[in-house]
Amino acid sequence: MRVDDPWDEAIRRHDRRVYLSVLSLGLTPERSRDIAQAAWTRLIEQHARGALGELELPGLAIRQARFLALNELKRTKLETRTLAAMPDLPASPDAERVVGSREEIERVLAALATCSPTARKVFGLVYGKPGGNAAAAAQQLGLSLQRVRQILCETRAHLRRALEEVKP
Amino acid sequence: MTTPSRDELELYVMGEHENPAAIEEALAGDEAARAFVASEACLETLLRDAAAAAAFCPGCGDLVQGARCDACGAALRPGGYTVVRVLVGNAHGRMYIARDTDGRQVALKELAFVQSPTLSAIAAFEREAKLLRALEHPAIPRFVASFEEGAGVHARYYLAQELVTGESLEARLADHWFTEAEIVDIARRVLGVLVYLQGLSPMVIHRDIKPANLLARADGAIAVVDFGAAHIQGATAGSTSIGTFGYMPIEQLAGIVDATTDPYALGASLLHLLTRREPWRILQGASLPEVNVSPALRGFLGKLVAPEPRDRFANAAAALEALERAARGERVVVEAPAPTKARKRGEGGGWRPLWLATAALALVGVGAAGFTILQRLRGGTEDTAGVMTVRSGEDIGQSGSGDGPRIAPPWELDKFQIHEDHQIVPDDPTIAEMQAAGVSRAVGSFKLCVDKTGAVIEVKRIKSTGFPAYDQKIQGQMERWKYRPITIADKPASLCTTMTFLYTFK
Repeated sequence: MRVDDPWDEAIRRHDRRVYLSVLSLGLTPERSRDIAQAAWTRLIEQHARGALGELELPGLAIRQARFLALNELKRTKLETRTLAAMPDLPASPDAERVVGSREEIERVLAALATCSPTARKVFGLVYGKPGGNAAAAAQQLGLSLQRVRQILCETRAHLRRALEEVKP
Repeated sequence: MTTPSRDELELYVMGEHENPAAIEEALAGDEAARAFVASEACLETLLRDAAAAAAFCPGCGDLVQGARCDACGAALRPGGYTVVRVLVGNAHGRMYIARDTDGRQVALKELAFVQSPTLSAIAAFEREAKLLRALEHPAIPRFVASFEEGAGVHARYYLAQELVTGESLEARLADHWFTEAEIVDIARRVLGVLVYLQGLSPMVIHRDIKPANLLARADGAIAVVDFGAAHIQGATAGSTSIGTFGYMPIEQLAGIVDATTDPYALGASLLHLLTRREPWRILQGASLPEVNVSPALRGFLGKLVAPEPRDRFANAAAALEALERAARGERVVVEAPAPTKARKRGEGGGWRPLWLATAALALVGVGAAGFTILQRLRGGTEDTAGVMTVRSGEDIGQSGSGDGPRIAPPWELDKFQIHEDHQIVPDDPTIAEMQAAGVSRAVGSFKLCVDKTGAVIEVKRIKSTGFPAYDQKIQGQMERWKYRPITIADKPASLCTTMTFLYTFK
């Protein structure tokens, strides 16, 4: 199947995000990658048939991938801690979950605001830019790659703690 | 493979592990590690969502929680435009690359104010916007929109223009040697724009032609950018005095501009491109510096940068016509200027450099090519340090003859000066007199001679400031200036120079 350039670009920008969303369900990396790829393939086919209206990426690809992953988890009767919490057909995001996500995002951003300016910049360069990574951040900020990775891990730990503090 | 550590798994999820294949192999048979990875992937997903919902400064990259970055002050979405990048920034504002709602990129200029902008400042901005809106030339960026945001000290004024992609001639100098043919081509293209501007009614004077404001586009065309200093003849006189030191003719410092101003700056720019030396370094002597070009082009350049306006081409059209003749190899006739008193005294005429002392100039930008000077005068738009005195000087020749005092540029004499202050401010009654007369600046020139012992032997007024009390004060203070014994090449020497004082106030 021929893949048009816009899809190449979309996959390049969002594939990691789609992959992580499947990986977070407890599947192996290999299966997660297969499912992410299958999700992209389905989207491209549906788009070619004119079955998709507005292409909202990466949300559409993530929903498609999680749908495939949950089907697989059901089929194999694999128990995961997230299975029960997920809707059967996540074609549209569950309202409660969206609200929860918003609250979590606000907590993350509030915690991020208390980090050092360098940590905030590293975070923005790695997570806020398509294809952002530690190497690009290191180059832009004039820091060593090792130092940037260290800052990233410290920032993640800080944000993780902030999220855990409010959990019941 | 042994069970990976949590740090390794975290790096894997972040996409930063050096050997992801080994981690994946280990994960296949390790359910606990997989559960940890799943949890980390949840966090990673959340962090990416948070980053997508957050705003990061297009200037410094910091997290922004309002409309403007707390760290560097850059705006995020002024007037509905999304800022993509900060091109330049200084105390007076910034230049952004921004996207409009349709995704088109524009150059967005932001003007900031330290104090609340006055009504006349707002009027000046609106005049500039009106001017830009009226300009229609393929080599001038198209006007898109103008708007303002905020009030008082938070006021920001914006001008959106077509984004011109290209490399400035100043940047190109870094790795390119301009040939005579290229110089002629640049001159022809820029003069074409100046002819258009001067053909408008009223005439428009750019006032800041320099290599940094001339962009070479991919198709070879030259775009003239940054009309922030542009002057509409008869409309903005007395409001601002703008230009770039080295490129502007000396009279522009006093706010005097005419149809020869931009061609002069173009000439200075072309000489910079040819010689790779800043104009203020090369336009000092009695003749043009050595440039390896044809006599015809040399004559053309000489007439462009003649120190006296009357000795230059009358306007851009005359310069363009002469350029075409020069390109055909015809010599440009440089008319002999009328003799001045200085010449009669045998002090020589020639190119007079503008020399600025270490006074409180508001420097908008400092680059290898010189200083951009933005003086906001009374009734202007903002924010120099209140009352300001600029002392400037001009070379009145290279050297004297015989045993008399040697003629030197002011900075040469400065090396021997003991006293500490160059600024001579008028007394309050004089300032009141200026205000009553509606004058916002006073310019006067004085000759100063110092003997070999360092004693001031002559102070003579050459051009009055127009205020006798101020003239007397300058003269009196100059007479009290103290110098160390003067030696040139280890020999005692007497020096004379001319100093020009510019006093402006808000």
